[in-house]
Amino acid sequence: MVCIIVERGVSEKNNIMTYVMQKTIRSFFKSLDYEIGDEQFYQLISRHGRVGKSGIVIHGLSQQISLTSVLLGTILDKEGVPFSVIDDDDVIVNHGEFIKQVVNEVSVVALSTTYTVEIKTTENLLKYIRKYSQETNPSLKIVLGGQGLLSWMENGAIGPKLFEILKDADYFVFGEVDKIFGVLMKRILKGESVADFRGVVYKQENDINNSPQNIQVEAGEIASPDWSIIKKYNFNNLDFNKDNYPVSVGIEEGRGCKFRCRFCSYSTLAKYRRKEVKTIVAELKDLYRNDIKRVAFLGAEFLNPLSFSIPVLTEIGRLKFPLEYWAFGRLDTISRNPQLADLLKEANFTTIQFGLESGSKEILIKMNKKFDPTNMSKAVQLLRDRDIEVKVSIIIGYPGETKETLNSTKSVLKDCNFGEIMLHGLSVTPGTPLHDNRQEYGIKLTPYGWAHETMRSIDLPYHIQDMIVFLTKNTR
Amino acid sequence: MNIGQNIAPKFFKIGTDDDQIRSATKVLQKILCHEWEGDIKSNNLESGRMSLFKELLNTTDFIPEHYLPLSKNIEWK
Repeated sequence: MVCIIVERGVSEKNNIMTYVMQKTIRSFFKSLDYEIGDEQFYQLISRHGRVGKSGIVIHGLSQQISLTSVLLGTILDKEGVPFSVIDDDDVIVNHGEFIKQVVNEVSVVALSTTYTVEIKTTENLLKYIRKYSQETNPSLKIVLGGQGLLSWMENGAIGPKLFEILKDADYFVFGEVDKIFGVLMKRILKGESVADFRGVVYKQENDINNSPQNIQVEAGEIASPDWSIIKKYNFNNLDFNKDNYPVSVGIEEGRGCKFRCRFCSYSTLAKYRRKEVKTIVAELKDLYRNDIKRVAFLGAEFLNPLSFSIPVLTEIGRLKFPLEYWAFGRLDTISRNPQLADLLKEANFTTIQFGLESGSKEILIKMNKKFDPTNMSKAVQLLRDRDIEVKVSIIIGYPGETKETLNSTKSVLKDCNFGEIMLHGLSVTPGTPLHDNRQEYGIKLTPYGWAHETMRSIDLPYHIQDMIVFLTKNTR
Repeated sequence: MNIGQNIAPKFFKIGTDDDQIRSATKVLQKILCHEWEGDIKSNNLESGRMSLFKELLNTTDFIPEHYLPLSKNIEWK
């Protein structure tokens, strides 16, 4: 029996700004308490039954169950290996008791670092698993995999110490596991050698054997998920209702990204591949047959190249499955190719998410984004006319960011009036050109984040606060 | 960031739709702005708070306990 653990890592991205916002909201309620009078205040709230011990189960996750856990589970199911899944944000906090129990019932824990940015998160989870299994299940094997491993290995400050920091793991699987995961797990379960697997580093009598390799499968070898496994196996200690599939799920149209944004590691860690139209259609058919309503295409930017997106959109539009779609897409591509808006509408896309990142031409050139921010409104209008919502993400604090560049961003956001804006403070992430060439960008890493010539990460709360106030007053 | 993804969902039971989250996010945004701006100009701070509080109650399922002052003797639902 195997336990798959997928740490979704939302909480580790909670930063000083989250803290500032939570503190402000608490202070708001505290003031109300004072204004209304203690008893009246609590009576008012409790009479309406409006106090909850906890929020919704999905802890800030757009997909309740990740594609990662379903893909890994699908592979094990095909190999006849029984498994359970823990797939959530902050799994120790949200599923700690279940982890204590399950690590004593299984022979192998397969832990994914796909969504994990901080190595500390994985290190702590490994320690937690060992703490609650070392006496009662000392032969438990822990297998680590996922993109986090690759980016930590690329990080000069961590790479050489990786196996020491993550010493509680027994196997380190580098690269993509689509072709090997099932056989690898069977070998480990039987205690057989894994020496012949490329990219699988393993410990033997405290020696580290084999070497890391970024193994990548071909487009046609990318595993397809079978969502029906959710009804066959235990996901999140049965917190997840087996009678209902998640409303929204993710699907990969491919892996890798055509673009080379300097703050992103996706294009440096994964080569660009796209699945065949017939494969994507087969996966969509499986989803709607399982009563899933919404599908998010997760394979980076969807619309480029047009030689990929136009045939896919045309086919989805022709088949008219009862599904709504969400994808990452570049607005400049839609501005230049207005026919895409019609194809998206015909295919029943309801949301396009665009990494606008900045409204400053100067910053966008530095990011290598290669589009004109003043030319966004045409695409927004084309999509809005077709009831397709546009969400954008913004990065605050890129090298060169000043009050003036932030004003340019405000101006674009005000003009376009997007349906949703996600504000992010700059994260200098290992594996990205920005991190690896940080001297060139004048970036210094500090104990609290980063600093460059025009901004420091400790100033981000002020700038984000200012942006939130502006957007609240100036957008719908 | 954070408001729509990490904060607003905590004010709802399971099965909340995107529109509800969006509406609550908007109210929470207004609350944050009100409090941050209130530091600078304190006109109508109290009446503004009450109106936003009512708007929040109308928009959400409940108020998460950890946002409330907890030193009170009350039976939580």
